[in-house]
Parts: sequence; C-alpha cells; structure tokens
Amino acid sequence: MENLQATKLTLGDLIVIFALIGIGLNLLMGRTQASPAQVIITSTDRQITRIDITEERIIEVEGKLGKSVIEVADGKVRFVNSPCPHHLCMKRGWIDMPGDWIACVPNGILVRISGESGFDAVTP
Amino acid sequence: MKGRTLAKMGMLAGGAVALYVFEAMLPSPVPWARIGLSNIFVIVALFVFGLRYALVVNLVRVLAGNLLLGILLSPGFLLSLTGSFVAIGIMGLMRLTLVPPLSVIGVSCLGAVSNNVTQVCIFAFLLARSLLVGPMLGTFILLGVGVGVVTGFVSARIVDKLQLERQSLLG
Repeated sequence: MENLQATKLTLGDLIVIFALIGIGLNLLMGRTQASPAQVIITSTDRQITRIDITEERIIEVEGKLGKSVIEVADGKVRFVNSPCPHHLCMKRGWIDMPGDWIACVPNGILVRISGESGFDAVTP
Repeated sequence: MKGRTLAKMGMLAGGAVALYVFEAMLPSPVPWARIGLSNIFVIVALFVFGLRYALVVNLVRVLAGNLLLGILLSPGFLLSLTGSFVAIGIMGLMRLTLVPPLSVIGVSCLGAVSNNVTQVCIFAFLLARSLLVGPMLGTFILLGVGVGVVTGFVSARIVDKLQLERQSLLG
C-alpha cells in the first residue's frame, strides 16, 4: 500500500511548481521594458555611429559638404547644424520615436532611431 | 499486450479522444489554445503502464481527435503533435531521474509547461518572428503550471485507484 501516495505533493513538486512560476513571471515582466533604443547615424562613406538614445551628446559627422552637428538629449535626436542649402534636416526638429529618422540628403547623412515603429504611418 | 492491458489502453485512449473533442468545443480566447484535460489519460497511462503505452495513447488521441475535429494535418495539429510528444518525453524522463522525487502533480506540471513552451517556440519560429515571444512564453508557462496542477491532481487520483485495483487483483 505504500505506492498510494500519488495525490500527495512532494518537496520536488513544490520546487518544480515554484521554479516554473518564477520563470513564467520573470519572462512576463522582464521583457516588457526593452533595452534603450539606439541612435544610428550613417554617413555616405558607410561609417556608422551608434549612440544610446539615453545619452547626452553632441557629435559632429563628416559628410559630402562638410560637418553636420547632431545632438542627442533627453531621449531625442536632432540636427543642430548642417552645411546643406535648405536645412530641411534641421527644420525636422527633434525625433524620439523608434523607427523614426531624419535624412540630410545633400550632406549624405541619415539619422535613425533603432526599433520598429508601432504605427503604419505618422503624419506631422 | 495482454487482453486486460489492451482493454485498459483502449479505455484510456477512448477517454482521451472524447475529452480532446469535448475540450475543442469550449470557447477559447486564442485559437488553438486548449486546457489540456485529455492529458489526464496520457499521464495515467504513463504512470500505470509506462512510457511506451503513454506514447501510444497520445498518438491515438492526437490522430483520432484531430480527425474527428476535421483539422488533421493543420498547423494546430502539427503544434499539438510535436508539443505533446516533447511533453511525454520530458515527463517520462523527469518521473525517473529527478533527485527530490516528483509526484504525479509535479510531473504533470512539467509536461503541461513543456508542451506549451514547445508550441510557443515552434509558433514563434514559423509564424510570428516579429511578435514579442518573451511575454507570450511567460503567459503560457504560467497557464501551464495552473493546468498542470489541476490535471495532475485528477490524474493522481485515477493512478491511485488503478494501482489499488491492481494490487487487490494480484492478492
């Protein structure tokens, strides 16, 4: 009759159950805050600079026409200065959404925030 | 296979198919997500008759169940086939090897969770690479633990009864 203990929880059972609950909760909570997005700056000579968007930095990137100045602050990015004729990149202002980007076409510089945009399209 | 064992196997497989089909009628928020009550019969087969019999009961359950539901060879069928066989493999292994020994309930939990994890992994790999797999996996692990405890408890009662009967028959 000593076999008839199947309904009783053993220590091993409790360990397994709590370990699995722990793993489950960890996966459920842990991945929800993603790692901080990165600012990816590409220039015409294929040089790529990556900066965490949480940093506070002003960097200069060499382009076809000259130096562009890009500022990363408060989780946002913008072109501060660029030697292009119309300054469209500067007029774009700050961007902060994953997947958003600013291009300075005359100077051949692309600034992109890593990640997928959650939207199909964004209008200003 | 002796006649008595054959009859019991038939009952287990039949019960598993019946529950499998019944369960598919219950409303579910996610397609293909099922409670897994029919696993009770697979677990009973594993504990009372052994791994080989559990594999047979499971094969009959998945093939006949999906045939009756009309979704044989669909993606859902492939998910449940692979998931359940991985689960049985893990249950068969864990039943024998773990150092603090597991009862039916712990083994059932591991089985339910490994079934869910396998299915989520295959699903994520084949169909939804861009989805957030982490939270989905977490949800299904937690669901697996809950379902595993319930099915494990019911299975344990049946295993007890069958073993009691077997011992009284042997004298």
